[in-house]
Amino acid sequence: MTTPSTPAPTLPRLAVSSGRRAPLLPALAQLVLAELRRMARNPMFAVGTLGFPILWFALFGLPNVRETTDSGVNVGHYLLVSFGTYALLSLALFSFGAAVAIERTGGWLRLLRASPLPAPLYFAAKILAALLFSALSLTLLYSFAHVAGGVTLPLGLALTVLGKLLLGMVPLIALGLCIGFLVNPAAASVMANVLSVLVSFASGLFVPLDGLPDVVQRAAPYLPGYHLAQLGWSAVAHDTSHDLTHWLWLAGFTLVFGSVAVWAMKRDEARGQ
Amino acid sequence: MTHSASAAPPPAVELVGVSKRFGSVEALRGLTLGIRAGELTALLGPNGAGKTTAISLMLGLARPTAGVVRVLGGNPAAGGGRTVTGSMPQESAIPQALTVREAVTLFARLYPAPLSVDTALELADLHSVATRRAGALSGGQARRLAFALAVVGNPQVLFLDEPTTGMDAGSRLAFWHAVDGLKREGRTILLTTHYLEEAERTADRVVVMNAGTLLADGTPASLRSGVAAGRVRFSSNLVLAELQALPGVDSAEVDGAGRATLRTREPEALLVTLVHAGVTFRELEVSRASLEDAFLSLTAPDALKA
Repeated sequence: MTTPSTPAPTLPRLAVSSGRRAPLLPALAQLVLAELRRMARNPMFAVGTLGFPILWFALFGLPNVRETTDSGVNVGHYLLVSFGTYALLSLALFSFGAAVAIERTGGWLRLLRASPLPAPLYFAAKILAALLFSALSLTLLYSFAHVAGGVTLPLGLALTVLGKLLLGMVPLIALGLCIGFLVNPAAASVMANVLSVLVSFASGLFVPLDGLPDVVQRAAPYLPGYHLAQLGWSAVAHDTSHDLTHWLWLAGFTLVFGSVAVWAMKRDEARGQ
Repeated sequence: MTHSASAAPPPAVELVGVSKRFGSVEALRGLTLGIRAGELTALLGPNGAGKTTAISLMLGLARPTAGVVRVLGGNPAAGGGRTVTGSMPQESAIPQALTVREAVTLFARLYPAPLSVDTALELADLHSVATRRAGALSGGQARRLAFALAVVGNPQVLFLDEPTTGMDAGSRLAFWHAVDGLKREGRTILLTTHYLEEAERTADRVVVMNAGTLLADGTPASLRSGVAAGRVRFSSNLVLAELQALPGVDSAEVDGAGRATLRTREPEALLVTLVHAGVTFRELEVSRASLEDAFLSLTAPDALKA
């Protein structure tokens, strides 16, 4: 086979075939920026992921923030974790479910695949942007709880909770990707809505688990939202004895959802159209 | 490809015996095709002919079931060659929240040696809407944005799938002007279109496909001349038998007012004969077969018609 380096002589300034790639970091930065713009400029998305957690906290959390549970945990801290987990859950499902479904069926993903962009960079950018937006969402929620309800976490504890919740969000992102690559945009939007509310409810984020029906209490340990919330609650309760179990569960969810998402993505690619 | 490469440069894009099957549907059947470097090639064919599938393979978005696809000598599915190709697909919903300039800037960052963003906006005639969100563009503007994304990477080979669909007359003119400039710089361009007069006007070469195979491959002029006839119309007092007896006439019709319609491969010879014979004729019209005539006769379900 001939070498690819024989363009017509009139083309001295055209890039000569492979070998060179665009620098990764500027490309990644642009992609992250594009994601952040997409999220920030979509009012429904911004209200849903930044506004709703604060609204729920104001309605259901504020009246009780000064109380203490039987086991001596500050209810304000506890509820902060609950609604923070809810925020991450809805963010992951909307950002990765509904948005990916639109990008996939509309042809944007196909266009990116025909460009030199390495596929992992696309996902890295999406995950980074989601984590940044999540950090913003949690910070706003905490600020509101602090100002309106006087909820105060020591800085170290606040950062620990933030770090644990963001790391534990990974399986939720994988779940969002599954939805995005499996169903059409309209269905993805509905699924993201229904799942984020159902999983939040059944994980004890809106009402403490011991106040829920027996069947929900028994189902909860099979939900990723439950384990994520447990990791946050264990931090504010200063009892991390069960953390390893919860991390293992979340790793398992990541593996399962991640595998399905990769399979669905490959299936989508193989259609090639 | 085994001949001296200096005399004839290798094709920019090459398909050899390519088949592609989607489940039970055979989209391409043993397609062999070379797109010459520096030319504008129009890929024509009715819906379902396999044009978009062929482009998908050239872009490396899918792998052939059988056969070999090479772009600039490399395997497009390997990904390395994507830095020198640009693609304008039929559908490319650009994220609605991004402005035109943001989307073009994003794409420029994906390529090692891109054009400047302003150059790309200029080429696509998008400066006046550079700050508008992609979601607020008209159909034609959205197509031009897709064009800007295709060229901003400074590609050597450009794939344009139905580029002018949805563009108004003005957009279309600006678009072809830009494509012309890109071609003059020596870029290779492959386009599919349903507007045959555009292909006729702009293409160096026309490839006609149907049902996944190659039907014809040549310059617009050579494809036209392959069709049965040019058409000559005039009014005279000749009767049908006399008209049919003229040299080179393939078919003749005449109406009650003496208006004759003749089909011939050699309209010039026909007119010379008429003049020499001293026939008086009025309202003369001579028209060449258009690419559209050629296309229709090539892709007609009844192949005997040609």
